[in-house]
Amino acid sequence: MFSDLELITGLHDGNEIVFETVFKNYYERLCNYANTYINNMIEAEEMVQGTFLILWEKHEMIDIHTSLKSYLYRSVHNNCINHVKHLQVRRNHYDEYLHYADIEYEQVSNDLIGKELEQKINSVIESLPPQCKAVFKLSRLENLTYNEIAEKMGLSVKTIENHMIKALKTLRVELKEYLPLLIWLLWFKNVN
Amino acid sequence: MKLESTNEHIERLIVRYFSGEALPEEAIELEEWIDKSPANKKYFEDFRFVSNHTGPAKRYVSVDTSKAWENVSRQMKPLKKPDAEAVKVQFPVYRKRWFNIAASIVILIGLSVIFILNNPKNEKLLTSVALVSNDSIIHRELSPTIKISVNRKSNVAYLSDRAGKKNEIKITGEAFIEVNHSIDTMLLVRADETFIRDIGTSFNVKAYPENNIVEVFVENGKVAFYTKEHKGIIVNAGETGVYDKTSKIFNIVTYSDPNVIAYKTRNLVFRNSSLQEVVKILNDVYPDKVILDNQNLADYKISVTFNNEPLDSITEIIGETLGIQVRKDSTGFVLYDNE
Repeated sequence: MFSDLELITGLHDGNEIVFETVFKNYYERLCNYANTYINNMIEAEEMVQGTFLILWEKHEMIDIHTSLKSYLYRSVHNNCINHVKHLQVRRNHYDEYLHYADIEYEQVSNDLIGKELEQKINSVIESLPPQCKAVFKLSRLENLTYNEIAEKMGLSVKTIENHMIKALKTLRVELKEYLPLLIWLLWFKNVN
Repeated sequence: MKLESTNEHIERLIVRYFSGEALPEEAIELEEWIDKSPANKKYFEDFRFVSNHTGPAKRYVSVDTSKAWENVSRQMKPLKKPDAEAVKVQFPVYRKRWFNIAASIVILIGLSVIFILNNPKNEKLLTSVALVSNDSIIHRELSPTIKISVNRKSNVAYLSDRAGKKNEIKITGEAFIEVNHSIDTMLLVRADETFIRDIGTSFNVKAYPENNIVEVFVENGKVAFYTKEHKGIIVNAGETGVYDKTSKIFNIVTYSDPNVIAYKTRNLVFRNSSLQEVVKILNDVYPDKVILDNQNLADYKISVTFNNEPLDSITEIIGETLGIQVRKDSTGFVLYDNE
């Protein structure tokens, strides 16, 4: 394995071997990270691939003072922010985005997990304290950022964050009986 | 429990992550925490599960890195175009050898562009060389133990650690590699989806992206020829290993074309070959062109051997042997008969 410094030098140089190594090391995680912003894995993949292509084309301008990992996450983060801004513009002009969100939600309902889990999730969400529930729905279903929710509800960002932690923790505890399925799947995947 | 002591901080990071709020450094911190133990991973995956089932399209979709790499590498523009001005050669002061090699190549190759970067500031230095050949054949000493000849329309990336122990070469197109055996030198060659691990030898790799096969001809010694999924074959001297990219099958062929590495050696062997065939091979090996004046000459047969002769001697010998004429004009050497 080559060190970070060696990899950075190789990237700067436009060495294809280094480029491939770095791509293969970080691609999946960067996609997962981008997906947390974009909520669409196909677009997340396109964006991460685009980030790498720019890195390749502008290799001589690469000037990395942090770790390589930080540099890559930072690049993807910046592209995500731009992408989300672009989506917001679209969302303001058309109602397309919400429509799209509806379709995706339906797909979730139709998948293997089944009606029982769906009902359980809905009842847990409904049982949350009113403010917590409202924050959670704005974040999860309307995909608003902490800032946007804070502005909309006249609360601090910190409060929004606390509500989100409470909601997700409650869901995790309440859905405990459904989680073993996941462990089983993970275990199975690792064995193969 | 350890999990609980870091609980609040980690929970905050996880929730930020799944809410699309995690800053790059937070995502990195979280991933490093996940990697620390299976229990951490499980904890994170629990939240992923909850997250995936409560929001729009947050479901986990697995990512196929190899497929993505195929897609990206297809779109990667070749870095150095021969006619581009981006010729950048930096000569490290402390390594005069590089200067000599680089300088002679710049003079010799003309159309090909070589890019070398050695940053003397870096402690852990690596040597990185990219060779891009369009219309010429590049001969190059990559390290004291590794020599390479890169055929036309091919490119090669080379990477080595400072000590020259770990070496990797990536070939797109065709190249001939000679390695002087040394216990200290490790060389791995990548060509398309295949790997070739050298065991002290000289061999030729042919892996043009448009061809469905990757070929490894071993001149001396032996190599291991394999892919990530397939442990592959050992190819011995005189043999050609062939990998079919569609069927993913390796084969060994003992027949080998005597002129397979002629682009490197300029040693040519023709046995009752048609003049058309001879001309085609000469045009592959030499930069100047040989042309048949008329198609009647194409079927003339010739048996002859050339050892690194200049093209004017070769055409002259062909002319004398077959009783035909040679003239040189702006297009190259023209073979013609008197009728």
